[in-house]
Amino acid sequence: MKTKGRSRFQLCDLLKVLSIPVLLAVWHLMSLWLGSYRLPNEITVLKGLFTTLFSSEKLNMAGAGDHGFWPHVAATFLKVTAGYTLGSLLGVLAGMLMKMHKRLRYFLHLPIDVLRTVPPIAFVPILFMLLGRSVAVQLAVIVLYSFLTIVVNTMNAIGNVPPIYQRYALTLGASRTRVQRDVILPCILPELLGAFRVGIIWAWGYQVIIEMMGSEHGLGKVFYHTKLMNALDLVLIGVVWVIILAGVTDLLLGLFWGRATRWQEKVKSEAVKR
Amino acid sequence: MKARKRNREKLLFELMSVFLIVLCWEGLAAHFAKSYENGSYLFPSLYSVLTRSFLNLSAFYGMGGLGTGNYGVAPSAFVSLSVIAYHTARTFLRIAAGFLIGVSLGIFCGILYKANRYYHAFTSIPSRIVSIVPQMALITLFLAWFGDSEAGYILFIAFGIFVAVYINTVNAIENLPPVYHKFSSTLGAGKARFYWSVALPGIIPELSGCMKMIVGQAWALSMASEFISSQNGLGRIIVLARQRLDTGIILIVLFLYVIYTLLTLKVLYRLCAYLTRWQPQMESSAQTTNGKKG
Amino acid sequence: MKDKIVLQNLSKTFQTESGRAVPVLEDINLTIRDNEFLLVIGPSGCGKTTLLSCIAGFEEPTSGEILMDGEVVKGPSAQRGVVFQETALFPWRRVEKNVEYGLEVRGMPRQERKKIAQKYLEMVGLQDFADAYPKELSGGMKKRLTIATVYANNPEVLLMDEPFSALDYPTKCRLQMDLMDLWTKEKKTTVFISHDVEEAVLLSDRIIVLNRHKIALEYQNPFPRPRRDELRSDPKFIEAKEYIKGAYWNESQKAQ
Repeated sequence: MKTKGRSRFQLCDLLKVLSIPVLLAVWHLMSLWLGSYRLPNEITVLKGLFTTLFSSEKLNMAGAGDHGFWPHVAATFLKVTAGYTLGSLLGVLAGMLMKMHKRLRYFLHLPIDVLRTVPPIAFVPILFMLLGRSVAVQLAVIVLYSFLTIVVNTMNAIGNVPPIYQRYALTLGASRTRVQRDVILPCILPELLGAFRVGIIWAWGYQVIIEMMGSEHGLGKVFYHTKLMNALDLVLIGVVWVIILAGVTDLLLGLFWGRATRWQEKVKSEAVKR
Repeated sequence: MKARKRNREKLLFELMSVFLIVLCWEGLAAHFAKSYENGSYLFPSLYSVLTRSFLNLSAFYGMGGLGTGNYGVAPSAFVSLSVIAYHTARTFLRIAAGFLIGVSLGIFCGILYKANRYYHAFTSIPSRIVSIVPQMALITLFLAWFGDSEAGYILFIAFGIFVAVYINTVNAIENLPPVYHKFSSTLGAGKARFYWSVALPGIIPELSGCMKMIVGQAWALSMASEFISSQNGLGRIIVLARQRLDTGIILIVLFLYVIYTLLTLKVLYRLCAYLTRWQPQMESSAQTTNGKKG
Repeated sequence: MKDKIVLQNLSKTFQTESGRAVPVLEDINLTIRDNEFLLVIGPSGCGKTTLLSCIAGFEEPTSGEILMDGEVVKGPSAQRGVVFQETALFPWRRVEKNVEYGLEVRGMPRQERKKIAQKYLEMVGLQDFADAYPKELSGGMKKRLTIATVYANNPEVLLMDEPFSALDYPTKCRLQMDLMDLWTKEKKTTVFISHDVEEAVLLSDRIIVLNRHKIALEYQNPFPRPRRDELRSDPKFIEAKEYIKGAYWNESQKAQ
């Protein structure tokens, strides 16, 4: 029994380490089988990440400018982070206000609920038609999306705050506004960060679609042009960039989440819940 | 008494809200009609949406496989309705197929992840990576691999649904009270039996809580794929309407999306309620129905 | 000694959702003197928590009024500190920061706050945990943290709602002693709710037995302070307990 346990332990570790190399090997084999036209192999893609970063002939031919991937990567990254953060901050504020003043809540909850049922990209054709395709309009869609999701998440999270915390703070002399700042905010922060983490992944996706529908810069624009050209290697490089950027934001948010929840009694060792 | 007064106040504010929105809408529509050449198309009044834009849908009769080649059909309510019906069917079938594939694979892989040590170890890093991939961004990839075929759209939707269901299944199993497993093993249930007869029914309440988000995702994924490249479907209608600068048609289709989303949700909730009829009423799942994440 | 809190003809009735009126307190008249340790005891449902909520300012009386220092009580205030039955503390703040909270709200400068917090942490024996998060404390220690926090805020009146009922017996006994030490060092008008007769006779200056929405018995505590642990087994103490229990249970039996 003991030796069996030990060997199982080693096998699992081995499997964990092997997972990425094995997947890369499978990729390579698939690429050989399908032909590098249908599936460029992983070496091409990974090498291409670096070589196309600052300049790329193919990209230029596709119509995406002659500075390589860099301006597009930066553009998408900035648009998503700025838009999503702004929308979320507004959402938290609105959520707190709506929870405090019931009349405001009655007034706003119908439009918010209706707007939430519509897929966020549905706003893109209308806004692009009415207001043009500038960066501001693109940001507006992401801000709208994040606002709508975070408002509801905030209101739910506030509803989950045990009322005793607020009463306790009142008996220690806090005013109602102080209670919002000192009690409600720290208490809802973990739940909000969790929602933020999940939401921003979707925001990345939406941003790419928005850019594909009309933007001067951004990975979506790259996808649009490279799709027309059927340049699969560039498409894959773009996809890898999206994954890297999304991974970076997730890592950073994970750190924030860890910090914001260090006071919580964690029942399970698996800290990350999506 | 207090509750009734509260409900009346709520209704009052909701009506005020709707009234204000309609007022602003009509105001903007009038402004657009006056100041811009195509203004009445760009920002139509609600009345014209219901009448003119609805009839404009008939212009799409000839495209996308419905009554092919039969262009120039006179606009009528019947034609418009058949346009709506046809494209709804095409979109819906794609979503349904993708949803079924995604949900079943997602639940299966989720259970496998918790049940089998080796699968768990091998897929732990890839699973983590897959969970942060923005699924929408992969649309180009799917289109490049599968061309413009139905398979491409269906698999795109299926993949998006798969990831969401996978993550939620793993979380749901982790949230099961540990006593379930202990109890079933003292009754002689092996691992497979446990997952099939205990864990699977046990996670349905929590999964049904995520249903709203997943259904929303399915419709969003389908809309995105139809925007980018499709010959038919509701998303295609929106794209064409944009080319003709006809906001009214877009609004009608969006309205349809809302209706369809609500309908599919209702059906799925019914199904989940039936599957969880053993649950005591007080203990509803942790996710509230308006906690949409993503 | 002046009258700190006066309850005049206090009545409280709750309305259920279906519109039924549930009376909880009926025509309570009570005067609590300055620095008096009053204990309110009674069977569950007799209204003792509601009484405390009204004095604290969380609930408004249906009729009658509550006066503190001659002024009508209108809402919660830092002058009426409350130690709740459940664990009431801020888990996202470190222990020391918890104690400092009331002082922070008042705008006290950091150095002064820290000194006061240290003092009260020492008084409850938590000085070694000043930098820890509350999640690292046991149930009894969390209670002590709450007591330190409320005391550090220096309210005029201390209201305690069955603070020790969730603790096991040895911890409860220790906390009762600690509270008495603390209270002896810094006297405050205290209203303490309990359902434990031993606790009542041990801690109080005066005991009020509430039953069927009214005051059923008033009992002046004859035992001199300081009271030691050994008093629990003193025959006179046990006799007093029996007397209170009699009034308490008799009435509750009548209720049934």
